[in-house]
Amino acid sequence: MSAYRLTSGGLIDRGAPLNFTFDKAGLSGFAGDTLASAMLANDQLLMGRSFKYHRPRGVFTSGSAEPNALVTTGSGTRREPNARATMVELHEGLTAISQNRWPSLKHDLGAINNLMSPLFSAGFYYKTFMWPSAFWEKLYEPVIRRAAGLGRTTLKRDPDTYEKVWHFCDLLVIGAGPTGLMAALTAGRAGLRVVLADEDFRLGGSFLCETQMLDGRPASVFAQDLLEELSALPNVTLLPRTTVFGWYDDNVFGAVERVQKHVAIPLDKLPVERLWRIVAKRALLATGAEERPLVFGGNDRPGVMMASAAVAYAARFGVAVGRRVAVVTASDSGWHSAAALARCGVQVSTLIDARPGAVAPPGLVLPEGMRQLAGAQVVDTLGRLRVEGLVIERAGYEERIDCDAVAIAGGFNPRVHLACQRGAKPSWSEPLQAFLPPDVGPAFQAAGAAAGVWTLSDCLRDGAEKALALADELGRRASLPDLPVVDDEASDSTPAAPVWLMPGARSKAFVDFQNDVHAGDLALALREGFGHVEHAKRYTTNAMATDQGKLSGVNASGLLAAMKGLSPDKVGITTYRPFYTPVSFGALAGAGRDEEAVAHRHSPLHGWAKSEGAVFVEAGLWHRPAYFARPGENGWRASVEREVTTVRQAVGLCDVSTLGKIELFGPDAAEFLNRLYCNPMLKLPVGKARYGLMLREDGMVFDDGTVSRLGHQHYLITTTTGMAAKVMSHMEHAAQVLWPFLNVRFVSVTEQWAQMSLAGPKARAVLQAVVEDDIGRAAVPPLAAQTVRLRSGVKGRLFRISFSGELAYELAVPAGHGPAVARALMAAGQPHGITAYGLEALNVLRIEKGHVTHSELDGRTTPDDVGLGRMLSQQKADFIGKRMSERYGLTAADRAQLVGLVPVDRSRTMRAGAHLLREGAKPSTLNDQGHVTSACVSPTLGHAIALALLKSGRERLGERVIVWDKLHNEEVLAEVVSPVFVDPDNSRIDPEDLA
Amino acid sequence: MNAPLTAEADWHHPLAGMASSPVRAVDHLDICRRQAVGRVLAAPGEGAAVAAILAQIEGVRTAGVEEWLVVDAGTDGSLALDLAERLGDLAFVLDASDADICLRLSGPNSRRILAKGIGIDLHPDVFGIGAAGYTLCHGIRLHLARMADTSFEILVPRSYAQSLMDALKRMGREFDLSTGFSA
Repeated sequence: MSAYRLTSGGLIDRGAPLNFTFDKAGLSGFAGDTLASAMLANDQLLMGRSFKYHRPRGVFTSGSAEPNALVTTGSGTRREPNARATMVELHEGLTAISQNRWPSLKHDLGAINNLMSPLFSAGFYYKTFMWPSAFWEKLYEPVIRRAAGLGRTTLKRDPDTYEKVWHFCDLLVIGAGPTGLMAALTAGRAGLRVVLADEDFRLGGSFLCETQMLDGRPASVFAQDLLEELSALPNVTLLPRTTVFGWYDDNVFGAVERVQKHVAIPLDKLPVERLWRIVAKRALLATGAEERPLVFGGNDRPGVMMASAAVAYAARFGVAVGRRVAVVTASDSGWHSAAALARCGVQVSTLIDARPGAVAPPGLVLPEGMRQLAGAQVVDTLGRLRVEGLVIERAGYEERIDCDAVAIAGGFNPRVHLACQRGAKPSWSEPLQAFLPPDVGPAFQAAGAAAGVWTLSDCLRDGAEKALALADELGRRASLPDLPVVDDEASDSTPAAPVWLMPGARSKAFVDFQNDVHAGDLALALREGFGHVEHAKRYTTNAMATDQGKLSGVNASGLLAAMKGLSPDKVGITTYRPFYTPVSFGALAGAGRDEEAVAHRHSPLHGWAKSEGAVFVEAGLWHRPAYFARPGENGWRASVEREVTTVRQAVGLCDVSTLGKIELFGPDAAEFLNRLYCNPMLKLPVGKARYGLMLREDGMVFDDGTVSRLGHQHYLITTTTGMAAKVMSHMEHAAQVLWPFLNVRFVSVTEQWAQMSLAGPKARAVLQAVVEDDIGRAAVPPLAAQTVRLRSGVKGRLFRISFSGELAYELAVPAGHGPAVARALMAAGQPHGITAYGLEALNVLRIEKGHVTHSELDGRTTPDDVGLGRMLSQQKADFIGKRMSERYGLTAADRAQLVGLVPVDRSRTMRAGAHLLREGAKPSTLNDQGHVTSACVSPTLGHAIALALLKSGRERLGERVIVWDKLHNEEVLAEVVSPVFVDPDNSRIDPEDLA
Repeated sequence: MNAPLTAEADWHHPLAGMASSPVRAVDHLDICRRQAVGRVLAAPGEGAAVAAILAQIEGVRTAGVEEWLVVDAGTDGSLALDLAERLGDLAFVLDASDADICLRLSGPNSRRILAKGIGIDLHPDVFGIGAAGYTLCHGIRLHLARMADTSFEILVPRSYAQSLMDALKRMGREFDLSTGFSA
């Protein structure tokens, strides 16, 4: 036995024992424990195996920087790999298992890597697995990944829920230690909206491990009083278990709250994790400082840990990390830690200070019987699965020191990461011998130990004063709270120069524990030309593990600097980026998964379509009917054939509500539209509709639709479904930037209307049964756009426009009336055999007529390319796209032009996307002549047809081309024909006999 | 020009058929059965004049630059016509009664519920009673107005109503939010 639970002390609830398992062994701890503290209390020093060499490792810290004690918690679908035992809050029934070992944590065959380690130096993979290159992906990498690694995740579906939340505040305080608490109190009392976030499950930070008294009270009691006052303030939000992981533009901070990670069975109504987006007017970095490890031979043996961690386990968790603790230090802080351990009842047998002639800080009460060795270097550690002693060297004299735990103290590194996430670099302070946060402006400042303020009383004052200044900036009057007196506080002594490496190491001296990078690896990187701090990082993988080098980053910089004979100032530090600590994918996704990942839109006729047997297809966010299956129909094509044939021979009803609809008003509305579309709009009469084509500035077609003039200064335009929002922004740009002098206003009315297309020779008869007004040929001629009154009393809008080439109307009614009107039309059409038709039939109908959609208008085609060159007005002074349309490339004769294709063998079919080749040409994209844009089987003609863009296509009617589909390995010989397959004379659109 | 709101039985609500919560909780989402909405766009240069007239009318919500929504419980179809008459040439008026679905969220946790989807500061000092505007909630554009300290009105485009409803139910789960059509 070495580590054990102290008989008293700590902030654990000894009346609430909790049972848990580690590698199936039953253990127990108390409420208030972390998994790490509970394991230590059970003398479970060995907690993991290292990444590369499979070396036995024990817990090294008591916080989020932990590199060694990574375990897998939970089971089944709630299995979570790589949890830091130091951050896992103990709960009843917790199960944890060790990682990266086989067959067991104590006997790991992978440890053979350690024996072969001379082979596995930094850059080993790069140098060794060079040939053949194809082997890297298929053989080398998978094998290496299997041997080296972390825990394995589950691939089963995550049963838990996550959410995201926005929050706004005047002041975000990051870190609830002495600095943060005083800052929050100062700002909170002044009425500022304050958020206080801390990654720990218990707020208080270093107060919780503090062994000195404040105003004669224990520090934890003092902290509790502060927290009670803060929680009573309605303007203060306390966020324990919340890691602020990122700092983004506009002072937005990302934070993740572990809402239910500490319970066995999460409640359904709460997420397990919540992602906070905190918009802060001001933020204070009160994250404290991370103790800096010492690099010496064998410094990774289980039982070696940070001195601050040893104190935390004793003071906060009531756990002694050993019965004969040795402290190894290179600064005064080690002496303070030794004294703190003694105050908690932990026996410290030896203190080794690397500084020659070092003596105890004045006034410090040292542990009884502690041996002091100044000017000594640790060259190795003894033991296998736990430390049993140290080998030290003093001026050439070697000595073995017995101990069962080693607390190391190499100074402190302010936790500056968040302040550096937007590009600024920390700066090295010679007087403080530490990297300090950069000045990133008044909106985000550091305070306390994060800013290099070391003593407790100075941190309390700094937090309060900075909050006071921030409140003042925000126009709020605050006052400095009474600051407590810290009993027996040591003075803020100037730190000695850091010891980056204790000389004479007999075994590996680790810098990065998680990725197994030792001092020799950094030396090798420097020798081989990778001495820049960023190069050395990649070459050695230092600071590239999941802990992101929280312990190793500064030491690597210091070592490289020392190796080069420079100051760390000249070497700098690697770039800090979000996330501060790992964040689960679940939290980042939030509620956005499965069906809820994106919103969906339903047309006002959605329910009606469903009742007609619609099979829906996603078109952007819309769910649109693809086709309407009827009993006995074998597959979608049968339904589509019936729908097309019914429209051509009788009548069909199609939901076109999803088309974008925009209404325009104002004296300059006509002029605005005239400039927006490439075809003329000025002379469009009231009560008429016209097809319109919009270009982009570069002369390519942007979108098409109809323009209807409803009144003298009142227009309605339609857009395609997919481009509705883009057209609206395009128009906003035109109105606000291009022609702000035009007197026009417009607004989207898409949602207000249910719109139905009624097409086919019987369309008028069916419509007349529902519409009260006369809709005869004279009253509603082609391209009429009018208001009509329905027999039900509803007022609607009627447009005589046709996409199918048949006699057709589009009827718009207020959306809520849509389903009833659709039902009425279907009832009126029943004697004529009416059918509902969907997107697929609509597509076939328009291909048969050679009408283009965005399959043809794909952003690379001009009006002339798709056969609409005549719409490009030559008379208009200007319109969007006019100038660029005149470019040579856009008027060249060999541009691809719209043509029709029919297979020579009428039984063959073609596919969209297939390439066109000259007959006899070798199948290669080098011989590409164009491509198929749309293809279908035409029920009207009884064979396949296609629209295609073919080089100089209009001159090549009658020629034969090969339709080559490399993906499906198909070649079809086709004849080039006119793109209008059905009714080229447009005789069906306004048949006289139906007048 | 605009269609009157007639034939109540033939008018379809996109959330019709949705089951109401068995018990009304302190935090409640009320689905309005039907409302009249007029959209007013000031003619260029007439913004101040329009605002002055609208200031005398109930139910006016700002909805953009020189643009307003007027929400009224009446469904007799007269709202847009009345507005057009009052405003004359100063503004363009559209009947938008069928475009949006109206929801009313109320209860002590309404702000915390909305914070789970809406990225604007709803603190009363920032977004006070009478404040209104367009924003996004889980990718859905909606019009939000504060009616009282703990009560908000949401106008959501009809096509998104079901999606937003699903999102709001999820957002309110923590507080046992109840939902149902207004009586």
